[in-house]
Amino acid sequence: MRRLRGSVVSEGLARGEALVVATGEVYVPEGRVAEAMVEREVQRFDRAVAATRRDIEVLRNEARQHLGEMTEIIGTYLAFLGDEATLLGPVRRLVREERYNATYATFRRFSDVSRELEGLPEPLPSRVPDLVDIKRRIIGHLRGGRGPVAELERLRRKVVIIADDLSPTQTAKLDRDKVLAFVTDRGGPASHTAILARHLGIPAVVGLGNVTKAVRSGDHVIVDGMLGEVIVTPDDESVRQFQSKSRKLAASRKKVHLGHGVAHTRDRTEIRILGNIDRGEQVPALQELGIEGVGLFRTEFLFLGRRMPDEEEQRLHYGRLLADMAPHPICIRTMDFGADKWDHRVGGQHEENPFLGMRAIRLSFAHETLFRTQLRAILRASPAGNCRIMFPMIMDVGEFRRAVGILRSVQDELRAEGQAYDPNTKIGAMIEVPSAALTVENLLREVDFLSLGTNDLTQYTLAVDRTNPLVANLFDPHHPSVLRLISDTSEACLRVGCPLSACGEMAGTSDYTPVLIGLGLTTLSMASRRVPLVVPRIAKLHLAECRDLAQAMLAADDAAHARRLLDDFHRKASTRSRR
Amino acid sequence: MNDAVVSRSVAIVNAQGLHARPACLIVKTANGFDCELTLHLGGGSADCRSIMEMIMLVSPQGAAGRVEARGAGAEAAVEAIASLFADGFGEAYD
Repeated sequence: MRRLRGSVVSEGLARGEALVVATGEVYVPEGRVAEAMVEREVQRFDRAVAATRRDIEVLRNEARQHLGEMTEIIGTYLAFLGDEATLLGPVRRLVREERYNATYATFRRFSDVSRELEGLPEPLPSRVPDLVDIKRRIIGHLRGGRGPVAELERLRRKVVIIADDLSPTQTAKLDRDKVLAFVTDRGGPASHTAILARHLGIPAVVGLGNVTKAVRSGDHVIVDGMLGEVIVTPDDESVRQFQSKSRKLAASRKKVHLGHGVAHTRDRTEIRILGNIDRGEQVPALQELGIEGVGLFRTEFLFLGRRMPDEEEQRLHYGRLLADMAPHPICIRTMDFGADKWDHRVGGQHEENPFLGMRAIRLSFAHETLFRTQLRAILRASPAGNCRIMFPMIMDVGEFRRAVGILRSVQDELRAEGQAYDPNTKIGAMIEVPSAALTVENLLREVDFLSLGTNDLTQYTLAVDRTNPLVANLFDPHHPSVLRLISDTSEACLRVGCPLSACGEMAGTSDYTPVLIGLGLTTLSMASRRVPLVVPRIAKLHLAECRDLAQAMLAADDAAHARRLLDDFHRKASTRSRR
Repeated sequence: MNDAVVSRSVAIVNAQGLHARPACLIVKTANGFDCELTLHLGGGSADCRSIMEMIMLVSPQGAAGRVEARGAGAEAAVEAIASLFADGFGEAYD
C-alpha cells in the first residue's frame, strides 16, 4: 500500500482499476530511403499530415459538442499542422536533402523544435506536449495505423485514468461513462484534465509528480478527491474506510427528492425546481426527483427527422406529455431553430452572421404556415393538461404582440372549426436578447410569464459566439453586464408579480446557483441530471449571503473580477461546511 | 504583379503577449490572403503563416514592430493583421 498526495481540482470519491495512459514519446530510429524514392516519401508525408489534419478536425467537432473549453486548444493544432516555415517545410527538406525516411524526418524535426521550445521562457515549454501529440499522430499515420492507439475511446471496464497530463485530443474522444477519476503527474486547476473532470463531474487529483511511475495498469487504487489523496493497492482497512466515506457522500447526494418540487435554502427560502426536456421520455426522471412541472420543453427535436411532423403527430406528442405531467404545468417553447438547421428543408440562404440572422421567432414569422401548424397542434393538445406557450428570442413587446396575434387568429380558426382548446393557456416570452431585458417593463404589461435564456443573453450581451473557438473563452455568464440585465428583469417582474424563471445553462450549474438566487430568482428550470448537483447547493445557501454576493458581482469591473468574488464565496462556503 | 511593400506598425497590448492563441489567430487571418506576410517584432521576424515562428519571437506586452506585406491584397492584409494587434487579440489588457 502506498499513499500519494496531490491537489484536488474536482471533488469526489472513486475506487477501481488503474489505467496508466502513455502520453509520452515515440522513438524512431534513423533510417534512409533510396534516391529514387525520395519524392514518394515526401508525398507519403503530405498524406499523413492531411490525414492527421482530418483527425483533428473530427476531434474538434466532437469537442465542440461537449467540451466547450477544449475546442480552442484543439484548434491551435490545425495551425501547427499548417506551419510550413518551421515544421512541414523542414521535414520535407530532411527527406529531400538527407534522404531520411518520412518517419524519421518527422521525428527529428518535431523533436528538435520541442527541445528549442523547452529552452524558452514559459508559456512556450507548455506547448511541447501539443507538439509531441501531433508528432505521434503523424508518425502513427506514416506507420500505416489510424493514428495513435485509441486507448481512451473504447474502454472495456470502468477505470481510474492515470496520466502525465491528458492531451486535449485524447480527452475529446474519451469514453466518458467508463472513467471513474483522473490522477495526473502534472497539471493545476487550469490544466486540461481539471477542466474536463469538472465538466464530467468526476474526481480529479493532479500534481502528484510521479504517479505514472508509482502505479501500473491494473493496480487497485482509491482516489480521495476530498483530501487529495491517492492510495495504491490499499489494505482492507483503507478500503473499509473508503466505503463508509463514500456511503455517506452518496447518501447526502441521493437524498434529493423534492417535496412539491421545492428546494429550501438554510433560511427556508423556497426555490421551485422545474425540468428542461426535449422529449416525452424524460418526464419520469423528473417525477422521480419530485419535480412538479416543466419550465422548458424544447420542441426542435420533433422536427429533426427527415420529414416535417404534421399537425396530428405533433398534437399527439404534446398531448401525451401534458397528460403525463398533469396537473403540473408544461411550458412549450415554439420552434427555436437557427437558420443553419432549416436550409435543407425550407430553402434558407447562407448568412454571414447567422446568430444575428434569421432564427427562432423570426423564422416562425417568415414561415408562418409551419408556425401556425405548431400552434394548432399545441392548442388542440392543451385540454390534456396544464399547458403554457412560450415564444423564443422575443426582441420587444411589438414582436410578442405579433406572435400573440398569430396565436389568437389560430384560436379563432379552431373555434370556427369547433375544435377544443384551453382558452386560458398562459403565454410568455423568453428573455434572451438584451433589447427585451432593457424594455422588460413594456413586455410585462402583456405577458403571463417570462423565462430567462441565459446562454443567448450572454452571447448577445457580450457579442461572443461561444461556438467560435477564437473567442469562446470570453463567454462569461457571470459578466456584470449579464447579471445587470438579469437583476433588472427580476426586479421588474417582482414589482408587478409576474412569474419569472431561468431555464438556461446557468440555472442548472450549481456554481451559479447563489448568484441567481441573490439576483432574486425563485424558479430554476434545468435538466434532471443537474438537479442532484443544484439542490444540495441550495440547501447550503442563505438568501442574505446570496444577495450580498450578487450585489458585489454586479459592481465588479469585469468577468474576471466577478469570477474571483464567486470563487471566494464558494471557498468560504466549503470551509464552513467542513468545520 | 504589384510588388510594392505595404507596412503598418503594430504593438502588443494584451497582457499575455504573443502566445499560441493570438499566433493562431494571425495564421488564420493570414491564410485568408495571397500575399507574403511578415511580422517584425522585438528584433526578430516571423512568417505570419507560421505559428511556431511567431510564438518563438517571445514577444511580451509592450513589444512593438511592424507587419509587412508584398503581393496581391497587401493593403487589406496588413490592415487585418494590424487590427488584431490593436484589439489585443480579444484578450485582457491588464
